[in-house]
Amino acid sequence: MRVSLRTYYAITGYGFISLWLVGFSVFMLIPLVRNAIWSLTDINMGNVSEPLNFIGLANYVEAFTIDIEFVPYLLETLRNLVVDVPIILAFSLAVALLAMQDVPGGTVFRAIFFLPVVIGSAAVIGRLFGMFGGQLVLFRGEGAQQFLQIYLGERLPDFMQFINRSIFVLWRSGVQILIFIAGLKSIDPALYEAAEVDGASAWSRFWKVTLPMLSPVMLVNIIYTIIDSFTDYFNRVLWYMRLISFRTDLRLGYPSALGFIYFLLIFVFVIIVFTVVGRVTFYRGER
Amino acid sequence: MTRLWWFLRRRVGKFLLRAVIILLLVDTAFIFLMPLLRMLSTSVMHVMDLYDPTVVWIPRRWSWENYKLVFQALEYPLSFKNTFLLAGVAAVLQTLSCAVAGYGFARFQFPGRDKLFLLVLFTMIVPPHAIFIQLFILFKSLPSFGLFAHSKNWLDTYLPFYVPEAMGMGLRGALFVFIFRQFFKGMPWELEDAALIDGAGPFRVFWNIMLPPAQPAILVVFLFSFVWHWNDSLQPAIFLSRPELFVMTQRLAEVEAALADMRYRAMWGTGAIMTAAVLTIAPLLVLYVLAQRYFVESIERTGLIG
Repeated sequence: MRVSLRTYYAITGYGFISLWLVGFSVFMLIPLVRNAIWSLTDINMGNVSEPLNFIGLANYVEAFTIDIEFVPYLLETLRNLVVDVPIILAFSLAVALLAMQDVPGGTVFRAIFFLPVVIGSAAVIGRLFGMFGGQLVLFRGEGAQQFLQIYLGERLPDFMQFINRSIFVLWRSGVQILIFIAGLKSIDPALYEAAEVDGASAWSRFWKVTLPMLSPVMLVNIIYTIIDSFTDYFNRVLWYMRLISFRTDLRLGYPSALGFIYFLLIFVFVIIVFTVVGRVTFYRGER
Repeated sequence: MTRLWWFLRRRVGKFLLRAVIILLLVDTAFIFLMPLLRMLSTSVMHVMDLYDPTVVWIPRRWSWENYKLVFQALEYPLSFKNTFLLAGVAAVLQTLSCAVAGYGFARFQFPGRDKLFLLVLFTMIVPPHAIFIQLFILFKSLPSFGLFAHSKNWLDTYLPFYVPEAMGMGLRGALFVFIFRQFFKGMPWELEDAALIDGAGPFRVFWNIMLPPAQPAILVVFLFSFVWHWNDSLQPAIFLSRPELFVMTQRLAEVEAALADMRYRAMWGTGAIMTAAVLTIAPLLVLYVLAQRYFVESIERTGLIG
């Protein structure tokens, strides 16, 4: 049998992605759909094998009206997100710019900056920051606490919590730094030369060349950071969902509903950010 | 005179700028290294040192007691072997399958390709927690065909970590498909065309022509996959319940839970937990020190962004 080249290519293409397609259906699509269906039922470990008994939106109503823990955790996640994302982005951009500088030992610094990616084991880091009963890891025994106490007085614990959290946030910016460096490398040096010839200072070169050229990368990074925060090890919604899923009353419908609400929230959030940020994103070759 | 002044100012200014940049670099490096150093130094301290406010970084009474104890508590040789087996095989399978899928998305025209690729991106935003009940049920119902004496289904085997990974799914599989697609999209067509004209089949072209230059992407993806599997604590906790299959993160959680029961955990436990943390990530640190040079280079050559 003879086929046209186009058909041949199409078939080959499907061949290459076929394994992924099967994997996607079995390990993502079907579980997700089944999860949505289960969330509308009163299924539990006792009646798994029986036909599904639909109870409408009762699980969802329960999540928002009866459950006293879910909604606060959800709000906490959103609040942390709004605070963390700009900090992480600003910090990782600054570190990426620093790491690009041509100084002695540059590769060593770059290797250190990628460290959180490699050992950024949430489980391990969590233990580290939880040590000394939540005391400041940085300032242990260095007299700094007593020093700060004089100025901050009662607000010292809040301040320490803030610092601890900041360091913790910075430790979560490994992949973002990496993406920014890749983005910075891809900017055409000719653009900088042109700007320099036109008399632009380093400051305005950053705002007028680097930032616009980096905006697609910025979009990728924003989305990545959001997803990362939503699925972070320390996210209390996730801990709660895990707890609920394997609780002794063995309900399966209710945790399914929580999972689905959470998934929808992420989905909507990402779409909104994508459209809003996408508007100010500059792509080379446009305009 | 003014010229000399101007010259000096320029030189000094440049020197100062460099000094500031290096200072900032050292500062930032310290932020990244500090927790690690703190972890190491606490792990070799005697309990007395932990109570002693004059001891900051360097222990006054060195103690390997923690290591002896935690090495046993973690069942280190066994859990090392298990974690290595799980993360290593999963990472190899995931790297290969994601490269294949990424190549398919990058180089072939077929109906629905872009919509399917949107599904890849969609996979990224589904939190594992939204489907883990379903996966649990699924793996419980899948037969293991007598491959394992102790389990008739996929639970308590490493199959839940191998099979999805071999199909381009699993832990952040979508991100890896994305990286490979971007990489292959950036490669020149000429080599492929030449090989096709010489009569090589598509899979041969992929294997012999496209994969070797993709080395940086392969290295980055493999390292990420390995590290993330090594550090994952959610999936092992759900799919593995037999102690002889436990991975490092599970042991770590166990050690911590045991210490939490102790009344005097406050300081003594801190040292032990830090030691457990050091032992858990030590293999990753060794791996990183070895691969670090290639890794940093690869990141820069991967062209992560198309």
